[in-house]
Amino acid sequence: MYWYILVCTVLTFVCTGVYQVESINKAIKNAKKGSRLHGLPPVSDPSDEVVEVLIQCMDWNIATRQSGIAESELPELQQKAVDLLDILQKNLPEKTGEKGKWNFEKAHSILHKVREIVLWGNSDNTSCQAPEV
Amino acid sequence: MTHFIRYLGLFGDHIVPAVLHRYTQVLRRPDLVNSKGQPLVTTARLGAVWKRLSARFKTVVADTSMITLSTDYSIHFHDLFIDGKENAKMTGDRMKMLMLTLPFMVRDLIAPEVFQYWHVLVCSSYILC
Repeated sequence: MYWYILVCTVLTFVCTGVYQVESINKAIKNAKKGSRLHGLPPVSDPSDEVVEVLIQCMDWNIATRQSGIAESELPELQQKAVDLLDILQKNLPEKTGEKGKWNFEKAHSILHKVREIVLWGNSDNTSCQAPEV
Repeated sequence: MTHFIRYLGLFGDHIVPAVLHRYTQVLRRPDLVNSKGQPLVTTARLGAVWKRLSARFKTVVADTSMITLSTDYSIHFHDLFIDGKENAKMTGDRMKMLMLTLPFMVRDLIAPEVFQYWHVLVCSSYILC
């Protein structure tokens, strides 16, 4: 049993060692005075924020593609679009480093989705593949 | 009427690259350099992160996830989002698959996985028993 626990501990340590956040923070922690890394703030895994954004994307996409959306559900759907844009700005503020960040037509267009459903019906009834463009 | 395709375009053209950029920002923070002034996380190490992300797509099988993603899909993802190959494109259906699976794929991508210690114990017990 002893060797079993020992192997598990070693395996866990080895596996943890390959993960970037752990190894960067370890390097910062072990940096001696005079080193470039000495005293730097640790890094943290952005997974929670990223997953929050992606789930909101998925949720909004599924909600807007339902067939037969009731009129009473449209305000909630619009709010979801507003929330999605907000969370994009909050959790991925740098986007990919551009100046405009999330302030461009394509991102803004999600706010018009409800209006387009009202005007043209559900998106699943349409195709935007090349032949229709 | 272009709102549907516009949204998938927003996801593929902007949201996914922004997610990858967020991870790059953490790993390649400008002050994280070694004594020679080179990034602490080298290009090869960063590449390994993206390789791990792409490889995770291959683990999506219908038995547990209700959809199956092939090795080709994983390569396609890498070509499109990591290598940025100009001729690599993703169809709307493939993009929807990405939207469904990506939240699970990025979880603990650069940090130890949740319950990893427990997972090691369980896996080892299968070998022992």
